[in-house]
Formats: sequence, C-alpha cells, structure tokens
Amino acid sequence: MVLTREPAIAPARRRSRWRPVLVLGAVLLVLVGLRIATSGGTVSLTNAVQDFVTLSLSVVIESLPFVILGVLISTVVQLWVPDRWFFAILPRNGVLRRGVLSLLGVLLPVCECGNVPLARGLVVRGLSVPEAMTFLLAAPILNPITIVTTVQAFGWGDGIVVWRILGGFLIANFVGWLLTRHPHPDAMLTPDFQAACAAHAHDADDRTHRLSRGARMVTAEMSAVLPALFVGSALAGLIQVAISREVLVGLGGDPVLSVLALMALAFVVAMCSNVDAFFVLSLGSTFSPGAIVAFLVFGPMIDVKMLALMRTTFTARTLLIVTGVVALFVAALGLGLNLAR
Amino acid sequence: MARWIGPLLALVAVVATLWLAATGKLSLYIHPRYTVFAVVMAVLGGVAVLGGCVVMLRRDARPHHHEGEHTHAHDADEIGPGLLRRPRLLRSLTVGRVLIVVGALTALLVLPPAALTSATAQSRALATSADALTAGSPQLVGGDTSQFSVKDWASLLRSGGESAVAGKTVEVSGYLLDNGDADVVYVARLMVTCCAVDAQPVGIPVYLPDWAKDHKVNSWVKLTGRFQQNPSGSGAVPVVVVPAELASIAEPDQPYVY
Repeated sequence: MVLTREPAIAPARRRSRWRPVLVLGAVLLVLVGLRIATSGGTVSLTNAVQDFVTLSLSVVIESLPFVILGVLISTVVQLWVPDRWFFAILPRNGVLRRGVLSLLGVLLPVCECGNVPLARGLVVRGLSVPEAMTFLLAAPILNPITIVTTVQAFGWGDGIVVWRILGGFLIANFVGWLLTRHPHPDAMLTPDFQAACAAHAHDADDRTHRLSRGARMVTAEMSAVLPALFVGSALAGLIQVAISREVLVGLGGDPVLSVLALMALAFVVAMCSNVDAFFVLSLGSTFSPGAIVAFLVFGPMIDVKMLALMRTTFTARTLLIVTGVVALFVAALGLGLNLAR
Repeated sequence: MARWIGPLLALVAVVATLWLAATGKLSLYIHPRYTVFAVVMAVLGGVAVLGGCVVMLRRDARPHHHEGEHTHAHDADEIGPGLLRRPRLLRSLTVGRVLIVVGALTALLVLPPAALTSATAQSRALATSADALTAGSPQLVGGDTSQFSVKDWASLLRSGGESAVAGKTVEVSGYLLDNGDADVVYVARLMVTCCAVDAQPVGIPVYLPDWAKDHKVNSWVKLTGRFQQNPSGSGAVPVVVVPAELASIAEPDQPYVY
C-alpha cells in the first residue's frame, strides 16, 4: 500500500521543492531586466540631486562588500566556532577581556560597517554589551590595514600614528568600562535584537541542517543591517551635498576650532577607516596635528552611517551617551595635543 | 515584508554591483583596487542570500512546520515583539521599508550610472599635499611623461618643484577649475582614494590671461603645452603650462584619476 501511494505524493512534493527556486529566478530576472532596460536612458537631474544619488550610491557600493563579509563571518562564528574554543582565548577579568576584544580587529581586519554584523553575532554568542561596544569602537582603528595606511600617510615622525592607536584603544576601553556601570546592560539592546538573541538560544537545539540555518541567518542579518546601511548612506550623501566642505576645512589652522571642525567632518563624510588618513591628507589645508588625530580617532568610531548601523542593535539612548563620551574624549585628546606643542 | 527586505535590498545591490563591474562603470563609484573584492563579495553574498531565501520559502511552504511556540517565534520574526500592540508604529515602519526598497531600486537599477558633476568638484579645494598625491603612484621623476595624467603632473610639480617639470611637454585632459587667479586657470580632475565621497580635485596651472572671458569653469578641455616660468611673474604660482592648444572636449567616460 505504501508503495502504491508513494508516486502520487512525489511529484507534488518535487514541485513544491522547486517552486522557491523558480520564484527567485523570476525575481532575479526582473531585477537584471530592469537594469538592462533602463541602462540606455538618460535622465537629466539637477546637479545637486544627481550628486546626492552618486555620493549615496558610492557609500553603499563601497560598504556592501564589507557588510557581506561581516555577515558571513558573523554567521560562521555563530554556527561553526565551538563555545570552548571561542571563550577559551578570552580572559575572565573584565578589563583584560575588553582589552583583548579591542584587538580582535587585528585578526579580522574588516572595515567598520562589517564589524556591526560581526558584533551582533558575538552578542548572540554571549558577549556582553560593553564588550561588544569596545570591540566596535576599537577594531576599525586597531587593525593592520588602518595602521599601515596611516603610517604611509603620516609616517611615525609627528606622533599622529601613535596617538591614533593609543587614543583609539584607551577611549574604546574607557567607554566599555563605563557601560559596565549600567545596572542592566541588556537593556541597552533594542527589543528586536534582544528577541533575536533569545530566539537563537532557543534555536541552539534546532536539529535542522547547519548550512540551511546559516543561510537563514544570513538573510535575517541582511534584513537587520541593510536598511540601516541604505538610510545611513543616503544621510551621508545628503549632508555632503547640503553642507559646503569649505566651511569645515577653512578652519584648518586654529588649535581649538580645527579639532571640532575635523570631528564634524569625520562625522559627515562617513569614510572607511582604512583610507581616511589619505583623505585628510589630501584636503590640502594645513591642519593642526591635534585636529588630524581627532579626525582619525573619531571618524572610525562614530559617524552618520555607523550610527544608523549601530541603531539596529543598541537603543538610541545608549548611542547618544556613547557618542557624547567619545566626542568629549576625542576633543580633549586633540586639544591636549595642540596645547602640548 | 520585514523578513524579505534584507534579501531584496541585497539582491538589488548585488545585481547593480555586478552589472556596473561588467560594464566597466564600477570605477565611477569606487577605486578600481576594490573591484575584485566587490565582485567576489557580491557573488558570495548573492549566493548566500538566494540560499537563505530558498530555505525560507521551503519552510513557509511546509504545512506543519509551525507548532507550539514556533508560531510565536514566527510572529516575532515578522514584525518584532511589542509591535503587534502598536498598529500605527507598525504601519509607519512598513511605509518606511517600502520607501527604502523603492529608493534603492530607483537609485541602483533605474537611474543611469553617473560620475560626480563638476558642481560638487568646484566646491572642493584643490589637493595640494605632495604626500597625498604621490601615495601609491609609480616613480615619476625620469618617467615617460607622454603618458602622464593631470595627477602625475600635479604630484611631480609638488614633490620635485619647478626644476622637475620646467620645459616638459604636457598633453592632458581635464575640466577647468577656478583657483582665484584672473590669468591662471587650473586643468583639473577629481582624484578618488576610496570612493566618490572622498573625491578631491587635483590640477595643474595653465597660463591663460583673462581666461574667464573665453572659457567656462567646469568645461572639459584637452590641453597641449609646455611648462614654463609664469609670465605674469606671480610668486604664488611660479611655474605654469603655457598652452599651445586648448580644445573643448566632451566629458570622458572615465573622468576620475586614482
């Protein structure tokens, strides 16, 4: 009897197995077709609108590979790295633990946008909020690519490289320590993300294939991060078009104003930490060393795109506090360097 | 919608990136050194997202996969906890998501790719630091100057000074940039270090008395000429290109230098 029923079910099941592939193929075809159909056209937008689109897209296209890499690494860390292996290398003492985590960027030199999905993955794996924040703030500065490009741009001579590394490490760890003072660290996470963490704990005994769980995690992570990336990029593009860079760059030599101006610039240009040293060098104005250090420390930690991305994970209040504290310390660092000269 | 926005945005961006790379236009947005990385990650990301979508669709199609507490987990997946009780917030979130998808679709797949307009270029100061200009470029002194770009000349001028360029013949194209001198105009290009956001003009000075009378700022030109001492005797710009020919051209397909 079983034998006679089997062929009747099989075709239906096969059809439902392949329907998703057909649906996705159709979606892909529509997207590719749309691009090819519209590629010949010319649209005359006003310069400002055209540049807003171009600038926003360049941030998206630049960041996307790093976000994908971050999502993939985060998924691998969550599913394939065993617990004992992962937590064995981390010291138990809080200060040392955060110190080690802030050096994680040396192993994973992903740009700052890729660090957000990775940090989310680490929190799901059991990292605390202060630890994740320390990693997020420190990793873009304390990674080999950033350090090499900064040395290429400025050399070791005037201390800019040293202060960037040292300042980044100290501020990230101080903010991390500050967040441990919070009575309920988990309350600094958005409710959605807390739910995702809980769902993961529940999922741990999920018997389904790890690869298919990984694929689902990738799409879920994309749904969390990509809307923020697009909004952040659009904001960065909009500010670029709306605010004349001259206003900020013009304050170059002033020991106090230049520090604040370059921090504001770092906030709005939302640039990858890997190349920001060349950028500030090419601005053409003679900036005070304190201002350059402030730019190079503040930019990788906080900018308009990073805040949009971090908002997927942390509450607005937490980000406000972190931004305020980081800004204060970076400003103090920059001003201190200028005064000590 | 909430579950599908990520895969949808990812596929839109992946298709756009691969198409730009295939048509050679990716460098309008990012430095060419990132092309391979961007393409590899786009393919990997695309495959992972498509795989995830297949898994999600198959789970949804299975009639009995939601049992007990799983039903609740699915709801939380879809709209997040707490939102069920706040329909207005839920509605505005959905509207926001639709706007993001429509915006991304329009910008990435409908509008034709474009370089930065010169209007933005004009509002940015000329890059003058020799270090920034020479970073990553090959040995310029004694190089074959017939292939030199605006950026090569600018960096040679900055690092080597007058003696490095004096008497040399120049053949470059670029747009006209006003640097506040009535008799000297700059032939410039936007230099990109990472992506179009950091684009910064680099240029070389051209001696053209009363240039503003016959030429429009931002217009593209092909310049042939020779580096000489500035005939106007201005100390600020000691050496300039005295043009043999300055012809108007259309904006090239690849307007940046790297």
